Amino acid sequence: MAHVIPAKSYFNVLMVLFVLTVLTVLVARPVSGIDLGIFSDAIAFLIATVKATFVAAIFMGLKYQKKLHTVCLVSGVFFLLLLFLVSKIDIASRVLEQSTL
Amino acid sequence: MSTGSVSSTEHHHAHHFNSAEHEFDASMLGIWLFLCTEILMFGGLFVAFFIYHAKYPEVFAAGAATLDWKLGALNTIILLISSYTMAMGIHSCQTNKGKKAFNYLAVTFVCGLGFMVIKAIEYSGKIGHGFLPGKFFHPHDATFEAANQALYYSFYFMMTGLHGLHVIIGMGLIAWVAIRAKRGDFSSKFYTPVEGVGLFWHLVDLVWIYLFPLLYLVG
Repeated sequence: MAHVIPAKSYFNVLMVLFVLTVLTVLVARPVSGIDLGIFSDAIAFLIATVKATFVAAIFMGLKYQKKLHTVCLVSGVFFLLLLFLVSKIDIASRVLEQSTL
Repeated sequence: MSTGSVSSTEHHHAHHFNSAEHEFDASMLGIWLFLCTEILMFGGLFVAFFIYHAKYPEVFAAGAATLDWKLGALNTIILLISSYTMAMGIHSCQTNKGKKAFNYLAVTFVCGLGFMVIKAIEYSGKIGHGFLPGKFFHPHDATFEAANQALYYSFYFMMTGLHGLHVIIGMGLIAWVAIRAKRGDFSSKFYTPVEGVGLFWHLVDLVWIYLFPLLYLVG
């Protein structure tokens, strides 16, 4: 059946997730007072993605399972990015009609 | 499923599968496909969030300022611990420790309950201030500069509400596998339901990992 991941790995991942959560809070503007503009969005999202990767790879065991399971997850994310991109292009390229009233 | 000669708790793979391994693989693929649709469902909300956040950053900043990031951070820690205990619950089943599996699953359930209690405290605070979505938004003790401040609370309640619904469903599923684990249904040869529920629970954690910085910290 499936690969049995050592209990120690789970504990180590939990510790990494704790550290990254503290980091997310520390770099955030309401706590640190540092305003990096749109970069604070990007940094928060980047840290969240690192955390998500740990959860998916070890807790969910993707690292040790069939590649097909990773394909399922990544295809969902891919089509989401496509939705975001096309929506952005749509909104950015709209011509607003000026009111003549 | 059982025949007279074997114990009723022992699992036998369904007749349309070649082997227990075949059945396990099919179940796992099914769960992963379901998780893909979950990502797309939450993803639609995330895409809308990013588009409106870019358009009205001041609305989201003012909205995030009304949330208590300490409660959000506490809930993040609770969900991370619950993901760990869930993983350990599966690990216990894989190593034939049914009693330990029940304990880990029980802790996971309690964590889910703790998350929902904190969420309820937050919700009642927001509702008390009149910070409700859309046309129900009537703040009576705060003033906001933006005319469309209700937008933030529409996202807040939709995203955390859908996530909270998943936590409640997840808790029900965890209770189900915990009872089965106590009954001795699972062993290293069969633990498919625990593994499936575990994957669902980790996805709930995954969504919150993104929701916490987006709703509470960025703005």
